[in-house]
Amino acid sequence: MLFNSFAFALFLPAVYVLYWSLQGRPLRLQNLLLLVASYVFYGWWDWRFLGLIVLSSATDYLVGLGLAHGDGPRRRRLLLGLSLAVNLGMLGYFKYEGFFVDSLVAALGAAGIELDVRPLRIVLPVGISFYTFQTLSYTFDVYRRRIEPTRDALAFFAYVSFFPQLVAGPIERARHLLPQFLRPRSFDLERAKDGLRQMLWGLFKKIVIADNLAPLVDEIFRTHPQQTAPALLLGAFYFTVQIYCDFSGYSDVAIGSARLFGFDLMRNFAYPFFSRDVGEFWNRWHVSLSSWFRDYFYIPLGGNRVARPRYLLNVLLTFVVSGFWHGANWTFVVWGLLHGLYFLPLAIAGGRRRYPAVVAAGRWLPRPREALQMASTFALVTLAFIVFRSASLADAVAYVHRLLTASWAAPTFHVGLPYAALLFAVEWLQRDKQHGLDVAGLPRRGRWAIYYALVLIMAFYANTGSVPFIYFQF
Amino acid sequence: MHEPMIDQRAARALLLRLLLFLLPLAALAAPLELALWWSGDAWPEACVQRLQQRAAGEVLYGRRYFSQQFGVYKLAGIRERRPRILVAGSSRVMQIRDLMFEPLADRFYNAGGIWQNASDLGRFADLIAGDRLPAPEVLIAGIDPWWLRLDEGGASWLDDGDQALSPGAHLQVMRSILHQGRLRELLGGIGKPARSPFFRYRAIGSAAREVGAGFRRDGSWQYPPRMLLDYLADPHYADRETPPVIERIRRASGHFALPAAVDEAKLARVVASLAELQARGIEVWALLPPFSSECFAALEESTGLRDWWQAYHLRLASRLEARGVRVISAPTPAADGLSDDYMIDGFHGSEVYLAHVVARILDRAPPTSLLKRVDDRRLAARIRSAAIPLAFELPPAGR
Repeated sequence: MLFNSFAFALFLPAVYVLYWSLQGRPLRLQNLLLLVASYVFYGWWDWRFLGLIVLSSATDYLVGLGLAHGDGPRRRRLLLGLSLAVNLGMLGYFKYEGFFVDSLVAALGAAGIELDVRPLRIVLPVGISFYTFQTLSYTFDVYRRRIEPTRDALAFFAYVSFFPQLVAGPIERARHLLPQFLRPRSFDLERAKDGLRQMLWGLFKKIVIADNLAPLVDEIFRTHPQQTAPALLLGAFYFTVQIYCDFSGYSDVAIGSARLFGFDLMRNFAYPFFSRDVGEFWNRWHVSLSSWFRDYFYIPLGGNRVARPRYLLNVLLTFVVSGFWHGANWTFVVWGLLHGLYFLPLAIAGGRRRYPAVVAAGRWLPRPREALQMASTFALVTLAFIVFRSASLADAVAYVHRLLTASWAAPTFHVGLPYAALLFAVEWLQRDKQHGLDVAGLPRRGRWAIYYALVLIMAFYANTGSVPFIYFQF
Repeated sequence: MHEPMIDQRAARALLLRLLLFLLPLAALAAPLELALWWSGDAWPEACVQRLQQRAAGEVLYGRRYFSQQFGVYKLAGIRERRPRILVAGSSRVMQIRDLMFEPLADRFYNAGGIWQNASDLGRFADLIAGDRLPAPEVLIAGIDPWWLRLDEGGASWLDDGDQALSPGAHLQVMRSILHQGRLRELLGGIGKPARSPFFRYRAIGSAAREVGAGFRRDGSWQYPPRMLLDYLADPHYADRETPPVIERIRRASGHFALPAAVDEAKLARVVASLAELQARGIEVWALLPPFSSECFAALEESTGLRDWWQAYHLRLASRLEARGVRVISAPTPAADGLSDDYMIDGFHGSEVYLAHVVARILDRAPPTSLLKRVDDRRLAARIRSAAIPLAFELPPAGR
């Protein structure tokens, strides 16, 4: 079920009404309702793949219990290995099988060995990369004794499949989300209202900005060999804005709708386009994934507490693997590698967070140096997104080559600029707030005027085609 | 129990406030929705088909604000009517009518428009093979040359959802009504009787109600009666498409753009799909629908289009015949001894001309064919008594 669908517009209020009507009854009833609702939400796309969520949940639930009962390091490692095998095995089979087979055939072919093996071209279950990582975080934390394993199977299954963030995150940590399933929730009117505002802003970013830029991006990338340099620049710029609005829009709807049920999800995006270096960008872009890789991949590798060459290798490896997480294509690997290379100078310089606070705090405009830093970071990020968006590495190279050599004729495709300008304006004004529509401080008339303005813009300018979210394919 | 009650009350209050917020928006949209519903534009295609097929008299159906969605509508028509004789193809075969197949008229259906490309034909064959669509005994399959182009029509439209059931499509329609300034016109239709102008058929949909254009219950297309009356005032051929087909050919635009590379996979798919249907016991007639003489000549003379044009007219026909599929070519009305007056435009033959083509099919039908039960003398009489080259009957004067 898509957030930007009519089905969800009926589904959400129905679950909301039922959920709060169970308030005061045993907690397990609310959890059961959320579990059933989450499975309906997922099964709406394809019920056959529900089995994978159940398998992943059951494995990690039982592994957690096993870890609680066993102190022997060998037994604990075995249980951890079991969880990894099931979850990464599922990921590998459904997501990467074709990539590995194709790569193997190509590599052997280059060595003169013909192999007549064809990939199975299996349908990728929506959200598999998200929920497997979420459930793995539980096992890792139990294994490292950071949290106690739960015996409440219903709460655990509901935690893994919680519908607002099931198919595209934020990838929650068990230590943050699971306890919320184990204690009674209360309804906080102000937080729920803010949740609705965040949902409205997320939906706006998705259906007005991202979905209206999508056809322009598709056209420019499809016809890049014939495009002029300004058109190619716009294509890369639009895609950067599109993917941000698409994905952060999803996260906003997820976080907002979770709030309606009394849950608090982690922040996934924090105005990443106003970052002053790539380090800050990764503290503001897809935070739930970057912090997952930091906690469960980079630190176990040794992080920065190893010799410098090994530390730099750890940095590169983390970026490459997180790039590969996005999809079974070399473009994602190279995208991750590019970000790793961008980050290396910062790592060499000490790797500390240089910019914990938002840019130009308390000022209307950035200083020239800050503006230059933001522009250069944005340019690097946009360049990498050309690789991310391209169908193949050869396409990406051709795109960049054409960008550098094509004529500078008058730009076309400028119809997308107002959408991008609107995004940048709103985000700049709101950059110290939790989300773009955090307007709780305004008088009621002002707030309602903004809400109506957004709804009317959506009514007149939204792309009505129910375009799927980009991150569903990851 | 105090806190849960407060929670429930607060949750309810938020929902009420949300509904209050949405109320003015709903109030704005409601009159438009009502008008769309009243006109019949917003009726689901399956409901329309049920009504058309079960009604006593003629019921004309033509949407104006929503897409006609030929595929969805005609699939519903085939399921509802379960014809023994089926015409399928693009709009270029829509003028074949039930009255050409007496006494089997009520077992005839024209699914013209259901195929817009080779994928649609392939999907149709899959649906028949999977028993998800009733199989006819005779299929007259109109094939268009642009289905073979490399750059046209990738996916099938047959699995599309009905726009009347899509909230996004409703929003899109409301926007276009406001942008085109048709609000007053649409709202003015509320309360008016649902009859088409001139022929006074029962009408569903704005196009049927306003200009009398739409699908008859047999699936054939009724052009606006005004067009037929205009012909009386100036009884000559005119290319009535916008822009005219001949211009498209000369300017190499649309279906006739250059380069016109042939997609061999599409050609193979057309042949395989029709052969597969034939292998399932359906008597398949592949019809290559007509062009006006000037369009046909322009296509023959175009060097850029030559390969593609020949792939359609020569290679496709010979490959179909090699697989046992009968081919009926209707290149221009001249092939049947007629003038271009029998063409609606550059690539749509009139019902009278297509009746000549049907007569040829009847003539060639094998003795065991269901088509042998069609009364060809009645068809010949109907052709002779046609009011004008474009139509068998003229609308009564006045609206």
